[in-house]
Parts: sequence; structure tokens; C-alpha cells
Amino acid sequence: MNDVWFRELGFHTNPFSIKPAVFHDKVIGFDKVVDEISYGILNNKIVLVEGDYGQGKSSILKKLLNDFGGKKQVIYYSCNRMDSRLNVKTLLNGRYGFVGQLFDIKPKEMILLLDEAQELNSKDYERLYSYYQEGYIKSIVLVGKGIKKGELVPGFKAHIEEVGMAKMNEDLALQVVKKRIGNLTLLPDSIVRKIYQRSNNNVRVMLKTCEELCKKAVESGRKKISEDFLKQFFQDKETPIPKIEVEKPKAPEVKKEEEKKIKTVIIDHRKEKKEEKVVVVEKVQVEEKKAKVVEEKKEEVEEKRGKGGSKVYRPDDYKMLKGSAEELLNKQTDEIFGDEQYY
Amino acid sequence: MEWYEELDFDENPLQKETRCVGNEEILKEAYYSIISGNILVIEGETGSGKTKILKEVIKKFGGYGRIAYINAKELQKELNVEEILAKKNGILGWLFKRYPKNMILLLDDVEHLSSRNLERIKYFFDSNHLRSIIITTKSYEKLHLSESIKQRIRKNIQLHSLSEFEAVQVFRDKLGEHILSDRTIKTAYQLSGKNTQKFLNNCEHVCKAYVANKNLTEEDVRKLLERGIK
Repeated sequence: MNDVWFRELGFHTNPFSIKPAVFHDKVIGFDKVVDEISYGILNNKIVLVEGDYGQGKSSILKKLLNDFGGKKQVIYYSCNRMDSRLNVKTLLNGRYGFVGQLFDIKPKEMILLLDEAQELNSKDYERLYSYYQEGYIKSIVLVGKGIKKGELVPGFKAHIEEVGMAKMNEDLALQVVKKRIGNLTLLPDSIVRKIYQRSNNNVRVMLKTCEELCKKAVESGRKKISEDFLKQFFQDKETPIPKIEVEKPKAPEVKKEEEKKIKTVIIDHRKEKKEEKVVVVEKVQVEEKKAKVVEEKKEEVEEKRGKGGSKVYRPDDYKMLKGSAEELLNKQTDEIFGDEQYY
Repeated sequence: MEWYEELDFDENPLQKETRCVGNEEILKEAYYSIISGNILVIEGETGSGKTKILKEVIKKFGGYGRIAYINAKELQKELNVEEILAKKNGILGWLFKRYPKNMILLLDDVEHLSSRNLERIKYFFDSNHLRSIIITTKSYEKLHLSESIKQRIRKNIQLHSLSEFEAVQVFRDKLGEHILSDRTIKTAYQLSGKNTQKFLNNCEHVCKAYVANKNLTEEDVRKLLERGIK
């Protein structure tokens, strides 16, 4: 590896970065959702958006910031940052900086975007509602996974408008990838579709898989990823790494009878799939076999490590990255959220 | 006269810094993960070289005020990622909550991360204050990572202890080619329970014995170390 794969392809930074909306403000596939939320904001509603991991909730908020920001009217706050409870007052005071905190000046008609709203409890909601009624807050957007609706204050509920997340589909996922890498010959459309089918409707997982795949392909010197290469890639991914102490002898089961069915359940921690194997063996053989398996696995590991060991050790081998460290570090992706929370 | 002076060394060669032997692949992964902006978890037993890898990373990328290295074992109170980031810009940054961008966070020897810290890490990672994170731990399972963090982690690497061949390399690197036979060193490594740190400690005993008796055999080493363990 003389250089990092994406630099070889002409990208400066990792094009498959999983940080939300790193590269652009356009959100693909959520036009309808964004429209609905915008409508809610304009009508002074409280908008509730729920979605699963990696579906693009934060990206939507980023888009909203872009739409409504500019007049210092929007507050973005991620609720997982709060220490104990949501402090709406300091958030509002902060609009006028240090002076605002000193003299307790609060702006009117603010739009509050709350990320990770599942952390809020009924007290937070009460406080939010009182500020909402007094007119300091014009509209609230709550985004999160599994928001506690039971904790909502009754008065709050009357203003609520729920918006569901749109489902991603293959075409949209393809657009997401295209937007990031353009028309790259390395990664044909059909491969992207295949990857998406395997990533469980989760765009983040898809991006991660794309990254791994491209890295592997570039390192092995391929110009284009073929179907076979993809198949091989997924196969490698599914076979678990050999561990030395995988199977521990199950003493109580062996003791009972000489001949017995033993169900060994092998749980693949990565996939969390359960495979059942029925093995019929004699008591003595069980122990022998297990000893053998452990030994074999040991050998396997040794073999794998042996490859690295057989070559002559050169102390400077590990300095494989080109370019000075400063160069590698300084150039970076766009900044997502500015230093301030106010837009 | 110290034992190493007898062998023509000015300083104790065993206390010299160890080179990263046998973990070049993992080092590559660590460098890549920093450049591409990802989260990496390195799992390994004590003495398998976790801290070594982080030190190499600091060597490579340090010097620009970008790296925050935290050893969880040395912390007085609970870890607070937010505070660490805020302190980067000095007292003013801490007062006005100005967070630096593009930081690299190295968390060494973490046993457990509280949910609050996980969420903080997630927030700062998402908002690009943290460019990349490397966490080392004894056991990945015991970290109790939440699902949304797990999805952000690119890879979970396991460190293996050195093979016997590599242990010999480590020894030769420090003490030169002419002291002790390979087989003797291998025996010493086996008797140290394949733990590199323990191995280096034992090496000192072996070397002292070697100074006293230049024809040290494998059996002698075995006896010496077994007595030492008791």
C-alpha cells in the first residue's frame, strides 16, 4: 500500500464517510419528508420525526438548517449532549452571546431542532411547552428513534404533527453513492444495487461496505469490481475469524450417556444467525475431536501469522504512507456544523 | 558492574523502546482509519502491544496538536470527552465552549464507556469535531456499546500475542545476534506465558545468568525461570 485507496482514485478524502451530510446539503430521497416538516414549522407546529438508525435523520436536520438558517432564528441541539436535563433557557439566552446570559435576554419566535429526542423526559417536555406557549419558541422539531410519547404533556399533544421517514430504495441508494463518487468505473451500478440489497435498508451499512470493497479492490489492483469479486468479498466477510478458544468442552452433557445427540449452537456474533448442528458421537470421541479442533485452529492461526513471520523483518516497513503527516491531516472534509448552534 | 556493561552496552538494552513487531498489518489499519476518518476498536490482552500501536500513531501524526491521548486507567475521575476537547483551546476555549475540529481521539485501555460518554463521542464524531477515534480494550463485549455506535465502528481488530519467531526478533533487535541461541529464547518466551511484557522481564534474569555463565543451556533457562515463577 503506497497510498490510501481513495487518493489513488483521485479523491482527497474518504468518499464513503459515514458522518451525516459531510459533502453536500442536498438530501436524496427525503424531499417529501422535508416538505412536510417545513410546512409544520411554518404553521408553528411541533413536528415529530421518527426513524431507525442510519436512515438519514440527522441529514434531514442538516437540510432544515440550510433552509431556515441565516437569520439566527434556528437552534440546533443534540439532546445526547445534555448533562441531566434540557436547559432551554441557556439555549435561548445564548442567542445573544455572553451579554444575553448576563441580562437574561431571550429572543422570540425561535425554531428549535432537537436531535436524539428519545433522551427527553416529561419534565423536559413541560418546560419546552411553557416556552412554546409564551412565544419564545415558534416551532419545535423532535427527531429520534423511539421517542417516549407517553411522557408528552397533554397540551403538547394538541400541536403535534407526526412525520414518518420515507423508505429508502435501491434507486435512491444508488443516487446517494453516485452523488459521492460520480461515474466511477471501479464501482458499477449493478454492484451498488447488490450491496444495498445486503445492507438491510441501512444506508450507513451500505456506505461502510462500499468503502471496504473499494479498498480491497484498489489494493489488489483491480480496475473494475466484478460480480465474482463481490461474491468472494461477502464470503470472506461471513467466515468468522478463527479463534483459539472457540469451543469449550461441555462437561455435563458428555457425562450422562455414552451415545447421545449433542446440539452445538454456533452463534456467529457478527451476523447473529444461529446455526444448529447435530452431531452424533461417542463419549470418548467427543473429547478427542474437541482436542483436535482446537489444535487445528491453533495451527490455522499459526499458519496465517506465519506468512507475516516468514518475511525478513525490516524496521522501516511500517512507514508505508506517503506524504507528510501534516499533509494527511490538514486537508479535510467540509465542516458540518459551525462552531455555533445558531444559524 | 551491571550485567549489560559486561555485554558492551552503555544502557540497559531491554528498556529500549520495542519496535512494532508482528503487528504491521494492524498498524496499517490504524493509519488508514485515521486518514479516512473512522472509528476503530483494537482488542487485546495485557502486554499484547495495544499501547505500542497507539504510540506509533502518535509518532506518525503527532506534533500538530491534533491528537488527544487518554489512558483510562490513569484518570482520576470519570472520562469526559467534551471537557477534553474544550481544553484544547486553552482556558478561553473551555470557558466559551469552543471545540476544535478534526481531532483524533485515542482511548487507551478502556474497560467500560458510560452511555453518556458514548453519546458524546457519537455527537462529536458526527459533527466532525472528532475526525477519527481509536479505542483499545481488553474485551470488546464488555464495552457495552450501543447499537448506533456499533454501526459507526468500521472494524474491530483482535491483537494476537507474538509468535515464537517474532519473540526472537524482538530479542535480537535489542541485544544483537550473538547472545543466546534461538531455542533458548523461545523457551524463555514459552515460560513467560506468551506475554511480551513478562517475557522482557524474564529476559533480564536470563541475561544476568548468561553473563555469569556463557554456556547457558536451555535446561538452565527452564530451571531459572520456573524457580523465578515460584
